Amino acid sequence: MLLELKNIKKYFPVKKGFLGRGQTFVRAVDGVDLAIQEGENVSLVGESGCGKTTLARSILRLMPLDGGQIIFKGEDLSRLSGRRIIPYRKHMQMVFQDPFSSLDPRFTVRRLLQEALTLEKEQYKTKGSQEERAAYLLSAVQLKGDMLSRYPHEFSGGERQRVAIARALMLNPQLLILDEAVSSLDVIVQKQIIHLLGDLQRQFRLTYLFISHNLKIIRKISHKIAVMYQGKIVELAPTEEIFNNPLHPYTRELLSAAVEYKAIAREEAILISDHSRLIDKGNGHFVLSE
Amino acid sequence: MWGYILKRFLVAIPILLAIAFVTFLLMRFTPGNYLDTMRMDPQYSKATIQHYEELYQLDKPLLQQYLQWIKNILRLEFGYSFYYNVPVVQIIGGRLWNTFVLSCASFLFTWGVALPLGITAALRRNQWLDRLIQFFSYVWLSVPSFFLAMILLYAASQTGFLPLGGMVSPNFEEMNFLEKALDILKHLAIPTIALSVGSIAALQRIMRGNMLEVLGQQYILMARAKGLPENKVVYHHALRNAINPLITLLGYEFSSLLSGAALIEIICGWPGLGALMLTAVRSKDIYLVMASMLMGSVLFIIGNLLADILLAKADPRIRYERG
Repeated sequence: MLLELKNIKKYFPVKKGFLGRGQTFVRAVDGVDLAIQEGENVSLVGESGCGKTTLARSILRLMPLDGGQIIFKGEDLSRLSGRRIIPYRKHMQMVFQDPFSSLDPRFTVRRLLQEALTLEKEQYKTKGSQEERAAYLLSAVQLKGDMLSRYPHEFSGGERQRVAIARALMLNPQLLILDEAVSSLDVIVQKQIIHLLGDLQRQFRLTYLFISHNLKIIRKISHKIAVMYQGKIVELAPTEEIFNNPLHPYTRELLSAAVEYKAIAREEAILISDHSRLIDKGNGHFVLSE
Repeated sequence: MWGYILKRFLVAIPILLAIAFVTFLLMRFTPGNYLDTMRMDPQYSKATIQHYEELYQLDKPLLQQYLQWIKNILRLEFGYSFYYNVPVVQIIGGRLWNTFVLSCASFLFTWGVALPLGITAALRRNQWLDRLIQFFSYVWLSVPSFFLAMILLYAASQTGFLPLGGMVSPNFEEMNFLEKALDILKHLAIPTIALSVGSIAALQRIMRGNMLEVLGQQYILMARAKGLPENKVVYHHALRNAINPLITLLGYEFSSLLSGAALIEIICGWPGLGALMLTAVRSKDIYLVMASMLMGSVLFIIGNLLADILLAKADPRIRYERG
């Protein structure tokens, strides 16, 4: 098991009463359980605001958790605090949604890439070895070597996202979280990046956690799909199982919203309470029920 | 780059001429001139007045007077102060230096205090320290600088801790170098603080706002995800980007260095350019006023150019076309 999430919770305060009493919370992530095997691509789907991105950032501990455990290769990361989490970041990396704001405009690509090696100072002591690593990864994402001394604004969206991917791979991570990584790109570039991700997975033995609302892309790249709604996973099943046999009413609605799946109409109301649990329906198919 | 700078200077010439012309008109269209004061004074002979009239062609049409003045400027003759009875350059030189000293002190103090305060406030957003800083910023923004100067002067008069005005003590000439420096610093304290406090409050808020905006950017998350320690995230990525808009501000600050301190100079008895200009305008000492205006405009233009160059150096996205 590469990564195991147990009952992850992340609440955001929305309103503060007098003297901090009577505070209300948005349950952005509300008790998520998820297990990811090595080499098994998992996708998180759901509408905007359902907690996908919050969940991703919580996994990397880019924001403090409000409960639950993150177990990475048997090690519980949720108990590590502040500075001690930093060394573990090299195992899990992330590519962000917006390639235009995710690269510091003041840094050349060379600096952006080489800075990522901060965690591996021992291994890449010399300037030469850092340069070599940066050039190697730039070629791995099919960008030319002379692009190293350029600034982010000199690249197109697709190229920037390749830089972001190269950056994420600098530390040789095992898990790569792609948070809407292709959503802002046009369809052709999307296709190229998806193809590239497939190549990289074989080359670097990566596992992807793919976050998207684009079902078409998800169907291509993932082995398993988790459908998220209001901070909870409402359905979890192998990819084709979800598409052929959606059990939860929200999953059906999501599928019917995408043009190709118009046939499945929404029938039931979506009910979620605090007592809902994921129920095993066989074939690795889990559904949230009362 | 050099081509760009040259171009900016060429563009500046007509701007300067226009500024000088408008100042000239304003001074001429208000009734009376310094010669009238002289004429009423029996100490001046008719011949002296005539000499001045011919020298500046004051009896000629306006445009001719203006062109004559420009011609003199090109020969680096800025004219003669009627009031002080010496060439304008002689007076402005010393005063300019004094104002420069005060402005620099205030500038260093303002930026040196405001930037760390703003950064601290942003990093502790909505915590008690941030709230404390913001509360005092509001207070200090609302206190006019001349009022603060008066309060400080009053406090100084009660405690005797700091001198009450001027730039040096009466026994300045007898001091050695170290004592001289200390003496000027002591005299600098009150005007500097009075000048700076409001700007610190404002600049601090700008810095805090910029910093918060940058901290919300994805490349900050990305830097954290890379596993960079927090201080690197803040100082390498956040600060460098947050400081950008302030560089433009720096240029404006530079250009207002000479004019911004006038009120405080007058209250604290600091012998600077601002106080000089006020007397010059009131006594219609026209060439002194115009030379000061011109000086201010040149500084304004240099300040803006400096800011643009700094900005290009700091931000790789900004490049100036060649030539």
